[in-house]
Amino acid sequence: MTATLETRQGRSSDPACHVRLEHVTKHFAGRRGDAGTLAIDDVSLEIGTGQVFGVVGYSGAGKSTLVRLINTLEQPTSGRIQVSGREITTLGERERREVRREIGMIFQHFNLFRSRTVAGNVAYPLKVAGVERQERDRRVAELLDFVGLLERAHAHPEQLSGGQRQRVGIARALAAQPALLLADEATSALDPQTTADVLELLRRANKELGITVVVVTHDIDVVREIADHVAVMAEGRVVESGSVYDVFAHPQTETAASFARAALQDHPSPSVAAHLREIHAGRRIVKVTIHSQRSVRSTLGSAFSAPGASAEISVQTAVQRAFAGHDVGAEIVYGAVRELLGRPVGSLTFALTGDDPHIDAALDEIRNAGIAISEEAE
Amino acid sequence: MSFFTSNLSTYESAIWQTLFIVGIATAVSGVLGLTLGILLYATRPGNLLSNRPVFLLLNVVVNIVRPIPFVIFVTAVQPLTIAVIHTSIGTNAVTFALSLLAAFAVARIVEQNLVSVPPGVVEAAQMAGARRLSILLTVVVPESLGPLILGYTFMFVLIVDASAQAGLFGGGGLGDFAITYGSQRYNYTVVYITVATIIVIVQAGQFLGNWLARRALRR
Repeated sequence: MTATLETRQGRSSDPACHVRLEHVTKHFAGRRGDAGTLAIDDVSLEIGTGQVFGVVGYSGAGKSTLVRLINTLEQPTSGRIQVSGREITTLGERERREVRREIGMIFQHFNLFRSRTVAGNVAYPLKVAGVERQERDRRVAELLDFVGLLERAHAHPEQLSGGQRQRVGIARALAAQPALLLADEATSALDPQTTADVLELLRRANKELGITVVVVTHDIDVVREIADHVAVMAEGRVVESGSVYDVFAHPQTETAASFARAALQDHPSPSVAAHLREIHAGRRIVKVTIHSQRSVRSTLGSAFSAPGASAEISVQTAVQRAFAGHDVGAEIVYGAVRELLGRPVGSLTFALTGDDPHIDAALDEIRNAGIAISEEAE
Repeated sequence: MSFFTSNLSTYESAIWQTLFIVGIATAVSGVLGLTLGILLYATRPGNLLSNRPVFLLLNVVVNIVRPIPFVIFVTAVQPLTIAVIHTSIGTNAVTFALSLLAAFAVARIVEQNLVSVPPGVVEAAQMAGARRLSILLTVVVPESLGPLILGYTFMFVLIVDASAQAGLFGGGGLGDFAITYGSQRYNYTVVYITVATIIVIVQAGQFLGNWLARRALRR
């Protein structure tokens, strides 16, 4: 009794949380003699209102099932899901339709209606919602203008390029003014430039229209580009979630770490590392992890970095000066530093020249400053 | 040729009988078959109106009825024909039986074409908040309209084919005319003229079907 009351009140009590999953599992029954598939395994997740939330994982990690649970096309085997404070797991077909009207959805293969024009596709959700003809036409024009396809209103989907089709998909998804936009591998069929255009549109939907955007993808670059929060999925579980910065800068699991490496491209692959050792034979190779770390500033910062200088400068400067101070030659041979949510993250690989005691002293100084540094084995 | 000048009205009424049988059977089986086909598609497990018992029942009924040869089907369905048409012979009775048999074939053709609509397109309509029946009629059917029209055209030709057997049950038509006045009297002119007439009817239907399908497919 009290439990149901709390659920109902949840709608107003936590406006910051748009989508909440509590211990959700989804099991797909197999054929006779087959145990079936546990597509979602005890997932708990919170997606805040107004966030751009990335869900990343390799194929088969359960990402698409997660989307289909949130949009009510599938029902969980157990657990609870709330969207805008409304418990959606116990709803009947009619109520689920209401929930769906508040959710826009874009797909990898666009899923446009071939039997309708561009304008007809965008008008469809408005027709379903019973919007009057005149108002509908006005909204369709507005939406097509938003995605930059006003002049193609009377074209048919097959006359459009992939990127244009996805923009129609976005316009259609936004037509009924949803509060939540789900993008399931929405850019996976597109080339890099088109992907950037589509992501820009999603970003605008988030910023200008205040829509919560959930981006489900195997492409970590997409997450790096637009997400502020991320959940990493593997084998039906959310293995890690948090701000994109934290997950990329301090991955706790191997899955997250491999996505972080792929996103940052700062880490030499085994073959590149072997090659580096080969061309820098006789030199020690160390990798310094760069992230905005306040401890660096407090121990070393005041000595040689101007007040207000960004932390990334101080990490790099700290490292460079430590090497210079011990007469160690340090050449950057690999690495990348990227900015995530306004903060630097990445790593730099150095090849060092100098005698071992000096190098060891320099490395100690760097470690003592709280900077993560690791040495590549010969 | 002298035969035709004296029996022109018999030939004409045979044409009209065939057009009547074919026209009604195409229209009625079209509507019935579309309904049945949509039900078959929609009740298939995993689809919009997923219902295994209903699907299995419809599937079995269609599979049993569809392969029955028309001549046998007319006899088999006699009790129902009498109940509805109040006679088991004549043009109306034959048209009734043909409409029914063709409906089952149309149902299968409709189902096969609807299955080819990408599930994602149905999902897109669901996400717009549309009702399931509305999705079937305003999305699924329009999305497969081109192939559906071609399927109907194919059925039209089969119906013309089957209508030639109407004479066996007093239904008249061009088949009856060709046998009675042509083959049984060794009057090949009558046979060939009937063949030519049927070719014209089939070609007209085929042409119309292709034209409509091309428009629907925008090719």
